[in-house]
Amino acid sequence: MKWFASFLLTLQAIGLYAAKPDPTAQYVASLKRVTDIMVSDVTSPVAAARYYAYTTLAAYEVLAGLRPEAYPPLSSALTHGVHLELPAVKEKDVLSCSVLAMWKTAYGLLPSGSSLKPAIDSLSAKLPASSLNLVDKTVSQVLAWVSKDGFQQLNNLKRYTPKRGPGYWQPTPPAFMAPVEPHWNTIRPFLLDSANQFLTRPPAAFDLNPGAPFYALMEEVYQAVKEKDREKEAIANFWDCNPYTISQMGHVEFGLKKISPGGHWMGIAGVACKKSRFDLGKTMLTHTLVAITLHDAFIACWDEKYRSDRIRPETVINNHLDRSWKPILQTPPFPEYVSGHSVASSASGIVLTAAFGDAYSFSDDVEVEYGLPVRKFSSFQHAAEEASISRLYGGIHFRDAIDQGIWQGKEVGALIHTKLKAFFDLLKKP
Amino acid sequence: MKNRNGTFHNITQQAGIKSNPLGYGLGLNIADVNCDGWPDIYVSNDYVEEDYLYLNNHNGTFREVLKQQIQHLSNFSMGNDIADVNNDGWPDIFTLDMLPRDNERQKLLYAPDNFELYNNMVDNGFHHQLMRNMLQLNNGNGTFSEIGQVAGVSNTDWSWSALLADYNNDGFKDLFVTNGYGRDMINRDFMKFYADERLKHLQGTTDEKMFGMLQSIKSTPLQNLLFENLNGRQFKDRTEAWGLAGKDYAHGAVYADLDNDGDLDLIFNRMNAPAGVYQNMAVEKGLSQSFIRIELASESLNTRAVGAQVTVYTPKGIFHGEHYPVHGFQSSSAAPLHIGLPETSVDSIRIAWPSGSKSCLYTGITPRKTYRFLDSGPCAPVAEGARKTATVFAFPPDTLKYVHQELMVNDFKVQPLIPNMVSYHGPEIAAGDINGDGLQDLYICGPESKPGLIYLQLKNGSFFPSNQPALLADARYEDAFAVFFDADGDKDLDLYVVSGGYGAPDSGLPLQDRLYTNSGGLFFPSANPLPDLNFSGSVAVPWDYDQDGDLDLFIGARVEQGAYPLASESVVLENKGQGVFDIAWKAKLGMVTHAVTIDLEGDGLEELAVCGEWTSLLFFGYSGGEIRDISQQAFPSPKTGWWNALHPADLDGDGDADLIAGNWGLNAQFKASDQEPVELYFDDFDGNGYIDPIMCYSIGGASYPFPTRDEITDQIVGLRKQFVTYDSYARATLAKIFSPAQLTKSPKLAVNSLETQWFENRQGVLHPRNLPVEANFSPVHAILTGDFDGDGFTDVLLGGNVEHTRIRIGRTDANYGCLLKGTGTGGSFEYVPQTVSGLQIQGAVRSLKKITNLAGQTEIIAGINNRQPLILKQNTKQ
Repeated sequence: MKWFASFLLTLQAIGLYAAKPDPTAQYVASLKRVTDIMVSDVTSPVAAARYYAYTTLAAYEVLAGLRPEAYPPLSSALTHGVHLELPAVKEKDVLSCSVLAMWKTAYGLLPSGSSLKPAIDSLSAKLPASSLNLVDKTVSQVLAWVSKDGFQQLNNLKRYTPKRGPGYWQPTPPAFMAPVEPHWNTIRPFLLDSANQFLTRPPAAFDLNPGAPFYALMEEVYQAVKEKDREKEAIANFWDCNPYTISQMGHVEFGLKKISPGGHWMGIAGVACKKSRFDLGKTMLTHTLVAITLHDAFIACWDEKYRSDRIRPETVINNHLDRSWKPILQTPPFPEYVSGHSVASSASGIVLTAAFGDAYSFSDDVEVEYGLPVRKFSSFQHAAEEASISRLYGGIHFRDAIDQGIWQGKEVGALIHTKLKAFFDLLKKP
Repeated sequence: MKNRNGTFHNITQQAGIKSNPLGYGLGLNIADVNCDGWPDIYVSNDYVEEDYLYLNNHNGTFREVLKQQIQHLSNFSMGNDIADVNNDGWPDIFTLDMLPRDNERQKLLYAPDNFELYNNMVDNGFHHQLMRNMLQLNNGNGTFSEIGQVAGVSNTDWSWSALLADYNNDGFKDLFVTNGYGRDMINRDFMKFYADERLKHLQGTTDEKMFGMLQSIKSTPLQNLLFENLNGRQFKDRTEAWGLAGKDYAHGAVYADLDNDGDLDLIFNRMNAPAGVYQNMAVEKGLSQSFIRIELASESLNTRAVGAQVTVYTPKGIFHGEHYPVHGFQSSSAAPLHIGLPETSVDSIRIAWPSGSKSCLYTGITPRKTYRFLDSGPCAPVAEGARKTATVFAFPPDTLKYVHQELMVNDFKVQPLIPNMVSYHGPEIAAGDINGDGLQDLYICGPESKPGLIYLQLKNGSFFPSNQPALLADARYEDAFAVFFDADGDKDLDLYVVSGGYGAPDSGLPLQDRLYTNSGGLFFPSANPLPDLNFSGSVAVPWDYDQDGDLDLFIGARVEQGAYPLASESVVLENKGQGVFDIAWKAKLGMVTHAVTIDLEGDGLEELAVCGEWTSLLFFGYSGGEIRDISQQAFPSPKTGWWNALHPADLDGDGDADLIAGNWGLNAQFKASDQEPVELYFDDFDGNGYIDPIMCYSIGGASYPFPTRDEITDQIVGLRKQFVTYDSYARATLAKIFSPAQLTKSPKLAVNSLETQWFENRQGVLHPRNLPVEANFSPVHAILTGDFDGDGFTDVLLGGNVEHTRIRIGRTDANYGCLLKGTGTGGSFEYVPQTVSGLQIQGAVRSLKKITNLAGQTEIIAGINNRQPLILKQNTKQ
């Protein structure tokens, strides 16, 4: 087994850094290695967005350090940004420097980031001391900045206890896991002035009287799953993006892993960059803008989730309508309102539309390796809408959580676009 | 299946037996659990479905009573056995589960505490199920005390068959356990990492992939285990000494005397391997005492008289056996009934033939022989003697209509790594005659957001709530303790209430203590404000330390809000007269839980005794104008424990005051000693401004951290990088987790005894003395002494239990009111069986208060957490 693994590693190394260099593809593949670690570690959607943001940002800042005439620093343009002091360095191999910064940041942040050590060592060996100095200065300043974003304080905050009373979220089967990151709204965003800048409408009031708006919402999810057709089921599964579902086979119980919603949209960014033959700089900028957007989108969304603390369809339907009803997708372990995928997808849709244009068709093959098919979309908006409604088809969200999630996501996306207009303009340059 | 003339008919449902689709029934036993002459049924269920105890209704139907009689049970119940473990005539129940013995497998297989999942189960009507073997001692009054941990049989790993039988022929039934499972299906690394990785790499159909994936699960063969029953309550692992070697995947098992030499051999089957036999060499090696073997036959269709009960009467005690062939796990034996005996003669044997048909007495029995009895043979009938005797305590009609109600907080949400909750400490009860009518009244401490209440005793002995506006106005406080005493010297009882509570630092819980002055039975906030006492306290003890004639107060500090195990300074308030108090002395004593005054030196001057969680017993005296710590003289060999309660009394009748101290007890996973203390390191290991308390205790000779990998990495996030897999954490001692510098810098607490004991006073020096093991079945939180049975000797009453703990520690609730009878011989005590004491107090007792009613009779009020208090009355005349 061991020789086989190292053989694979060698192949990967050759594929990446020998043969014909296509920097865009290489950057995308390098980011994929970070994704793979996140998947293996079981990283929540909110944590994944944060990791994507800081790893891609570190890579971009190295680009800005090496090509200041073309790419101004992004970290200092953020509302809650930082000014990095970087040495002036001349270096042709932007790709290696940027990827090294990305991996070193991942090394510092991800629980299993140390598995990148061999790759970091072999990449470092290729670079002169001055370039390594630039990378290290960038990474150390980014990590220092990250360390003050509130993450380290999360474990001091009181752990969540499910509220008693009708309509509140309760842990869901099969694992009844504790809810993910109840205090994520204390994490520092990039461009939101605060976690509650885009306050959604409150969810439909919990009311089990037939005829009440909430009852109708519940009935809609219930029927959607009961009357599922092949296409709707395919859509639900395609956008599942659940980093950790529990599979029970008889007495055996184990976890199955996939990428998060953020991971999926980072993948779509890669698909588009390759399709449009974006050069390395534009590719890095695009990924960084999407990642920053995802982080702010999840902070906004999580703020609402633990404000409304709403019950999941599975809980209320099992308790009041049909004990045996099961959603198509496994219910993720956190409150229902608003739908995180709707917020993240709509925000990413706005940003990618700003980058690539309105009627931009693409084939989404991001999750082929997880056994999912390729799906074609006529635009990012189309994909975002489908991702959003997939949560209703999948039986894990009510429609108002999707509608308001889309609204919130679009607001976040528009804010990013407005505040970083100058950077989006860079993508339009020939 | 009902047998009607040789054909079987399914009457499961009519008989009241549940057939739940959730049930994975792995163990079945038939025994007369309530000794009414009719067979009852115990079913052990794996997974979510709980076990069932069906009692026989004598009419072909059963009633399920497990939740009423058993406080907690095995979660993943496997095989079980029922037999009289302590020779008291009541069959005890033992269930197997899968808790490993060693740290490594515990860390690999144990899921982190998931309070949401646990509460969800309980909310959905399931009982308290914990992952370990349970030994349910039958109290004979419709309750069971679970003592598996103090008995030493709680952890046997992935176990299948339990066989209780007397393997060394000494009169006590020993325990054999088969062990091992083909695949470690619940290995945490497999669940979280390997299954997904393997499935992604494997090719083929879904089924082929699944099969390939399952084959990659680790296999761990395990040792079968043999425990010697030492005294009916404690077992000793004799696996090696008695010659069991080799690791297997062993499942079913039976005992039978294969070589007919008078000791029981063991036969067991093995997965994918030939069956095995352990030949018992006890007789051959002269290690066996005595035995008797009984073959039963019947002329009915029940040809072997299954269900007969055999009692052997000897000068050395009474020994019981029930004639049921199915024991352990999916195994049945057809051997004669083997009853081991100590070296003794046999007076007679009583056989109760099946289903209460008749009981016969047989005499002229010689040990070490096989006797054959036929149900239609000669019979000297015996009448069933009435089991009832007058109990020590009786329960008068429910005359105190108060129900203590907790907010149901979870302290582990504030500090996820602490070992114990501080909340759920009430209700403390103060007693005193507040209105001068000669009857003692009560103040019951209020839990958070509920007021403390005064109950006035009426002439008929019942209690009536008194309207006290000043007390109602202070409902937002959480009362930790209260005491009536004359603070202002006007000859009536004033009320001092200690405010306490754990809470988060930002919870806004007010902590200032309150002094209320008595004006004709109504309480008003004292006109003289108390000094700043803005800390979470636990106890107040009136103590005229300076002998100036007015009562001063010692106030114990419990915990800093959300910062366990830190505590503020405990203080002594000096009474300046007229109820004006000043802080005269303060000191950091640790997390104080209780304190009492005691005249250690017999000089008429009272000293102060203080105890706490993670502290020793501390003693303070007054000399040379100063309060001095005299712990070293009074208690030269410190015992640090999780002490909860102190009570002074002359226990050995020599005229001086001895001391009883209530500790966590010995029914726990962790054992503490000088050599292997339980330790608590508490430092801000990740430098984020908050304390990370990490408990360590010894397993198999080395000390390991208590938290699971997920628990420790969730709190100290940086450790996620160090312990990526569960395997990498499974062998980690604290020295592998933190650097020597970190550990040296970290403050540390240690506990060297968890035992509830009494301490004999010899010229002012306290010497530890043991109590019967029953005193250590559960944490003791309340202690009383008195001559409860009226025989002229001082008895001890212990109350306690813990219902809110870490899931892996689990509810510890074997104490239904533990009465220890003074024998009058130098402070030795005997446990009084619950059938004799009459006690069956359910729940966590937090206070025991003695009061006198108008008729001069003593009554005891038991304050029970989150329940109604219970009143006990002495039955005997004094």
